[in-house]
Amino acid sequence: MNTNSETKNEVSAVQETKAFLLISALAIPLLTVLGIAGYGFVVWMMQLLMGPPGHF
Amino acid sequence: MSIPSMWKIIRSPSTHLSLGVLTLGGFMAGVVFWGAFNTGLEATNTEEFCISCHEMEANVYQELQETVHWSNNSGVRATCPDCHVPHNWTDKIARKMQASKEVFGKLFGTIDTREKFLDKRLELAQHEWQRFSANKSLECRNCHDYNSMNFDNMSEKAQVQMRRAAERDQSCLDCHKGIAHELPDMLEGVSEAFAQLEQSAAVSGFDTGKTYYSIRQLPIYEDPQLAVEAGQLNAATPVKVLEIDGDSLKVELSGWRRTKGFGRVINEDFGFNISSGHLSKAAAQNDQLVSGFERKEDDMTGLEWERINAVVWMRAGSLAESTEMIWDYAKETYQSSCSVCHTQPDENHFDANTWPGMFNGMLSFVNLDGDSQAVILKYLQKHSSDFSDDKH
Repeated sequence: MNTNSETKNEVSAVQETKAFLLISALAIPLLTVLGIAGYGFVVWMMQLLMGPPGHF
Repeated sequence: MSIPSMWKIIRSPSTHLSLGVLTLGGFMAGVVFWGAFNTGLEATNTEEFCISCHEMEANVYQELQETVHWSNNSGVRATCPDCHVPHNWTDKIARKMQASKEVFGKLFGTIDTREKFLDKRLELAQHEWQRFSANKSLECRNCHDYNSMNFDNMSEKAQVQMRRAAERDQSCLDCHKGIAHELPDMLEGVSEAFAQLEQSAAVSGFDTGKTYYSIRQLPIYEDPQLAVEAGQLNAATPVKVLEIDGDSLKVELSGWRRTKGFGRVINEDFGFNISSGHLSKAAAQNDQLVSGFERKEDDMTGLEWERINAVVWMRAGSLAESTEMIWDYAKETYQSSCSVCHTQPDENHFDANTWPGMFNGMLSFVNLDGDSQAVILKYLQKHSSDFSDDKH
């Protein structure tokens, strides 16, 4: 699989798996939670400015 | 592995992991995340979670157990989040974020004792009342629906109220405050304010011939020794000082009374049920104390009224030079105590003879002392549509 010309940019299967797990199991879930929290926070701040949510 | 090299791997097409593995892995991670997120959200939406804080467990949770939302015929009960966490997703998330304030309060012990809780209760309750008022008690109506109510099964008294509320799509909490927890002590401080009014408004020196206004309900007597009671002077009522004898004042109280019966109740003016005070049976029939003048018949009731002057004695005190400060106090107390539950009607929304019925009907919802009641009622009557320039 490895050719001589690509030796410099060699990425092992272990490294790639680690990277995959890092983003799928840690980074993206964390960012999602942060995003939802941020969204909730913004809505809360809007409610402070414009009053509690009305009647639907 | 350094962060730049990791970043480079992430940015490049994979060389070892197949498209299938990546897709499956991402999909699985998504499923797990979604499940975990909702499990976590649900876990914070349980009563166990709420009462894991002593503040909730010891106060509001105990009070709930005395109410119909805890135990009832049908065996359906409301838990904390049913009423206090919005069910709509966006509002729910916003409420969860808002709870960071509660975490803060928990950490710093803002309401860690019953006393602190009671002190804060009105403020806390008002937040919830505001929320319910804005969404028309949406959380109540997730279970209670006007369309599903069988009005015929209600008592007659309830029917009248509930049909009217349904017509107007009224918010439940407009009337049902305190349904699941004790009501805040809303009028703490009113008596204190009254004492303050008396202190600042009462005059110490009196001049004969001048008119003064009673700050509170005051006893009146037949004699300068203040030994024989002659009745009671109502609050915010003008009296003219005729004579000063030490600590006693001889005063003249003018007004109108109905001739039917003993004529004990003195009203301020012909046809108006604005009380100036009442006389004892003996005093009311004593010509030496009470002199009568012209008589008129009230068309509304067919009753005859008589203008009178009562000359009685009273203690020199609790009198003000004008009604200004008394009305200020009454206005403030009226606005603050009534607005806790509803928008209070304008003073000139009713006429002077309608106010007593309206006012007395609401008294059971508040705990005003007798003097405050008298002052506020009189304030309302004297600022009613009968005395207001812009009629309502």
